[in-house]
Amino acid sequence: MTQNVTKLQCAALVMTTILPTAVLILPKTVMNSVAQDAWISLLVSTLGGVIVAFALGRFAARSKGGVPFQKGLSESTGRVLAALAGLALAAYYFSIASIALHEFITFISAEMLEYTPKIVLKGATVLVLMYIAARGIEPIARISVLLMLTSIPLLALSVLLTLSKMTWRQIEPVGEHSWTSIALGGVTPLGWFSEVAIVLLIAPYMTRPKEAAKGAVWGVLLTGAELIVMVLQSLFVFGPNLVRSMEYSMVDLVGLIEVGNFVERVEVFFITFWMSTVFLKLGIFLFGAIHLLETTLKMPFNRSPLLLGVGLLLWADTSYNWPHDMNQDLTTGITTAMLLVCNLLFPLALAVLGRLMGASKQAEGGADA
Amino acid sequence: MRKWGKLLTALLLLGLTTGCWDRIELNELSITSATAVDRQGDRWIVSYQVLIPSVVSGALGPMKGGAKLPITVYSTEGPTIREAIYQSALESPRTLFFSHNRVMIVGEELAKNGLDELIDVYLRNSDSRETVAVLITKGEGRKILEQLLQIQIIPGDGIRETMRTERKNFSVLPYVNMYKLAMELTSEAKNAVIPEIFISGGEPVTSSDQMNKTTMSSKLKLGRLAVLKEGKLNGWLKAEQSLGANFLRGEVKRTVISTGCGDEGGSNQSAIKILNSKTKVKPVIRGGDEPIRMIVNVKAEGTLLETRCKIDLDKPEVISKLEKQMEGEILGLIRDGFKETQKLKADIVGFADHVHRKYPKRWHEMKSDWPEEYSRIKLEAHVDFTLKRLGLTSKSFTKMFEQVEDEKK
Amino acid sequence: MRWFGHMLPFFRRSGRAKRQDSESGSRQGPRDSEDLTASLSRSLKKNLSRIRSLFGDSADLTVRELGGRPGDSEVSVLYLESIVDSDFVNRYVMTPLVEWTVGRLHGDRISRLRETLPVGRLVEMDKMGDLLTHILNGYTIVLVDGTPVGFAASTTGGERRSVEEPSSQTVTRGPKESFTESILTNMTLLRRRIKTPDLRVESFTIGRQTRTFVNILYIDGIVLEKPLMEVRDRLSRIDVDSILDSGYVEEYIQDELWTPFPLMQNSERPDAVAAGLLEGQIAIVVDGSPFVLLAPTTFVKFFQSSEDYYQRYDIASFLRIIRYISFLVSILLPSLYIAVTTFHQEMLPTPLLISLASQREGIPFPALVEALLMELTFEVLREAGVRMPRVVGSAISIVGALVLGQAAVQAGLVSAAMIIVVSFTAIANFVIPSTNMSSGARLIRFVLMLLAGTLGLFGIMSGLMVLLIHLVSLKSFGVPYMTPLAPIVWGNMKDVWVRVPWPLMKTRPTAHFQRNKIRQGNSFAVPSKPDRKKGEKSP
Repeated sequence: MTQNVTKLQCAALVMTTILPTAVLILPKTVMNSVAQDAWISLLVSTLGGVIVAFALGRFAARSKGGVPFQKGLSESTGRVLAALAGLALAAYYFSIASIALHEFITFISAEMLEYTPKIVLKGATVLVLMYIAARGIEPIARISVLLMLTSIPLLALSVLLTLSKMTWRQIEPVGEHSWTSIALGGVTPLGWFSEVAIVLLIAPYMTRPKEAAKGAVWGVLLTGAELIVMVLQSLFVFGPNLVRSMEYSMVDLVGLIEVGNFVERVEVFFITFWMSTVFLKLGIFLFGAIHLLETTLKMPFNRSPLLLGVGLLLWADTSYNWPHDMNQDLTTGITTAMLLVCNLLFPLALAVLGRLMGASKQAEGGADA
Repeated sequence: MRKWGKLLTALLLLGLTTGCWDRIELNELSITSATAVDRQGDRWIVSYQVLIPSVVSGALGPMKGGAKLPITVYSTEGPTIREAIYQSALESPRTLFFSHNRVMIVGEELAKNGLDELIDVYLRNSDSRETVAVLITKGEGRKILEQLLQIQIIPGDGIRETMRTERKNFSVLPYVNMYKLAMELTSEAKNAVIPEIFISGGEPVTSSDQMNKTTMSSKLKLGRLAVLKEGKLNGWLKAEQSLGANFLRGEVKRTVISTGCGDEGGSNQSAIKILNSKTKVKPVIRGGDEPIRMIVNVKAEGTLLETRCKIDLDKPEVISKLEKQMEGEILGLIRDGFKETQKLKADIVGFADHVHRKYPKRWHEMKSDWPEEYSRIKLEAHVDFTLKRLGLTSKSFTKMFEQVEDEKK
Repeated sequence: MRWFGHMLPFFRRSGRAKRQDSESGSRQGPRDSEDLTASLSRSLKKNLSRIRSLFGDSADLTVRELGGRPGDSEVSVLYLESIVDSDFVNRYVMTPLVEWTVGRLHGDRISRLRETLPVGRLVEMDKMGDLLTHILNGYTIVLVDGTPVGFAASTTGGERRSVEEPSSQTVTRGPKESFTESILTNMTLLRRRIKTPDLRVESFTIGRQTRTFVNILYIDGIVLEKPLMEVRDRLSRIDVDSILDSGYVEEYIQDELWTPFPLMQNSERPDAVAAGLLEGQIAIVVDGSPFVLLAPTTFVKFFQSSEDYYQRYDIASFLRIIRYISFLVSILLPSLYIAVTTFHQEMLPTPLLISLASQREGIPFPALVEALLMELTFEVLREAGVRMPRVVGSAISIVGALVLGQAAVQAGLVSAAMIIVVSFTAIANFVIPSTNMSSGARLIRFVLMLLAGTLGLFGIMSGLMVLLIHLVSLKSFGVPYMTPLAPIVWGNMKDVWVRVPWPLMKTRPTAHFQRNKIRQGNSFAVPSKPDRKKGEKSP
């Protein structure tokens, strides 16, 4: 399927992949250890994210246009390895989608729809996701751009409206915590930023794959900027200590907005916008999983059976795989580890292997890598 | 396609059945505008002021007759707050709806016991709002809820508006809402304040006959400031002391202060309105066992509203004398308020945060002993007051009055 | 008068050759300069071939050659059939010419017979099928004993509706002509507005029983090849019994069936179609239907009305923004109302909540059912209003709406707020200039209402997400439906949200419609400052 993704759309896609779930658990996770220096942690992890994006972008840029990632892999590392990699990555995307979906629905259930059974909510979401994945990466990319452009004025608006409740001095004392704890605080965000690895799948569909690196870096930068603004917002309004006990402090933040006497409790409005970004992110992941499966198993692009199958599997997995879903710290730790491994180490290993095997092939004489 | 058809039909029917999980019709809601929480021994007593929409609104509804008063008040009790709330299912045909709750009245008993459980309820549940104004009252909170206001149909709303206007125009009592309370209790000093509300006058106004007069026999009034140390009620500040403390917190927006005539002596006073004020606090620690010094700079501007002193404001010296007079007055208020808080050993002015910000390492040493340290702080306050406007006349009428008299003679 | 592009063997080259001709010709772009300043040549043949290539062999160009041998004639008469009065031509131009050439007749009886028929459009045929087709289209057949060749003279007459005001898409300021059912009249209306030889006409005949003439028009040099080829391809693949209206054609050739959104525009107004042609669209005129189709199209175009361009830009911009808002309102308002009042009551300001709550006292239905009932009632009223004779029609809708609504509220069946919501939604629906877009909106509204009733704002959001993805992935003849919003093309934004004043719209919407970018030169009426050069930049 030839589709065109521009550099702007690539950046927007990266942002859509990272931002939505990060926003949800952001202040609590980061401020837990570093309180008012959380923004420094975020700066550090943004820098790390940029480096990661650059590296992954370069790796992705090597792909030729129109050749899906997995196929490109098989050319450089051999069929067997590429098939295994494809399946592993597909499983990874599937699990991430399942985790993120679960987090999402838990939040919606807690904040908005208490009594609706989560299965129904998950089912409805999976239906939407299947539709999104079926249409391909191009509509997703276009809508990502629209959402990205809308998120900026919305963020500015929320800052403006909470300006009166902010105390600037909450940011002091700056640098109270040691560098080690700041760095540790930045590990979880780095895990989120590592999701920029999606660019590996997107690059073959770009009009100019060479620009994948630029798109990825811009995406990470923009995401980092928005995250820092949000953390600072929480800090200024609530102070470092209160945020640690709030599960979803961003929601409470926008819940404070009151204009005159008639605009109140508008957090549902912001949540609704945020929901669309989550749908898109989950759609991207589902698309990623299906895409990898398709190219690995060499199925034709007739999506319906595969889509339906994977969709149902996702629904089942996300509904029944969480008997004790309240173990927050463990979940975050494991998720971060998984993210880092699959997004950083895995492509790194693949790139290195590709180089090695390519070199050995050439040494054998003649075969193109 | 057959299976899609069946699926769609199922979904369609789902939508049309009533009580579809989260759906609540508007006429199944019990809208609360104010709540009160009390504690009696081990039991929590929660009271609600529930609105009756058809009486309150101007829209025509098909139901006529029935209630005439806009609110109804009832209480429930239980071992925990939330259980008490759910006990209301035994008496009320409708579900309690807290999202439009304006005011939370805390009873004194409860405050003495500690507010942490209450705040926990608010933060943990999604349907309570954190912008609820918090007030404290001596005695039962329920009595406050039963009081009707003449000028505002919804009393809960009225109380909140009173608080708001007070903070904007009189700045004596700070406007405390739930999240601010939570913030202060989790700040370094772990102290908080809550304004008091009480019924002043004779018998409470709770029926429509009592409402049918031009003067009500009693009304709701804001009073002193309650001081909470580590979540428990510790003492009270009078209104002027509260104003002084507010200067230290930097929360004074507009207020009116009366001050004497200076060298003139006598009992004549001038009234000056403060238009805005800014406070800068700087802690200075010398080391060793010396008490901490707090350097406070207050900058304020104001207008002259009224005066009986014989002054001629055309002359600049007169103006600067008046300014000095005002500065002294504000200084006195600040000192008084501060002394009272020192007596209570309760840091409600945020000095702990200032110390933490400036001397983070020392702060960790002092943290555990802060109430003691606080009572030893030396306050060095400076006030810089500018009289911006004088109103429409320059000479005070009293002075002109005398001049005319003199000329007559 | 009729013509059959690909059925006339004599005076036209075959279809394929003709197409190749126009394709190679159309690579060059508009021929403003060279060809027009060249002088006519002495050779009739050369002139004729040059003219034919200028016009790209449009189907309404009629060429009649007289005198001399076939293929090497002395005199030639050319005209565009759609804009001349054929009777006039035959009587006052053909007849004297025929008399003039009578003396120089060469060749056999047939040729001489041909020369003596003073009819502009004369077709020679030798097959029964052709003869039948010609008779069925109003031609007069002349058969001669002894030859297997006959003539068909174009003499189509009969009653036709005259040009009137459009019935549906009216404007207050602007031309008030509308298309009629006769394809010839419609061609006339279009040719009169676009007087360039680059306006090409290609004709098709579709429908086994109805043999309906379908013409496509486009401006060579502005239109893009890909959509054009798509249109031709799809039209030629239609294989049905009958085509009675352009709506049939639309459904057969549109890109995707399963969408509530229209993928082709239709218009009753020649000025709107002409504007579309000038922007690079392709017009499809179907005989027997006063609605002309335009393709490819985008979402944004359905919110532009011809009136926007005839009135001042400030009011036009304001009204356009109102149209977008109305579209959103007509889709979302009932669902938002249901979602907020039954799931998210905390969003309402307290006084509003109280007044809504007091209205709902004693209403037997839940909000969703109430909304559905009222919406369906409104749709019934609307449909009834369409069927009523004109005089009674408006009375019924007023009576129905007001009285029914009022009575329902007083009977305690629905709340007053619901009536307001439903009526406002319906009115907002009428604001959308194009009927097929507003019909799409009506259908979407119901789906969203159901979603809102079950899952609140979450449901609405899911529905909107699906809708958005659907819209963004639609294509109309190769052009993404949501240009310039979805693939963001900044240059095209001039005409989307607001209508930029004419002198500032220097370029046509780029990249997806056409090649020739510069629409106008420096057309500021106010003289610019002497040291600054305006309007000379090309984008």
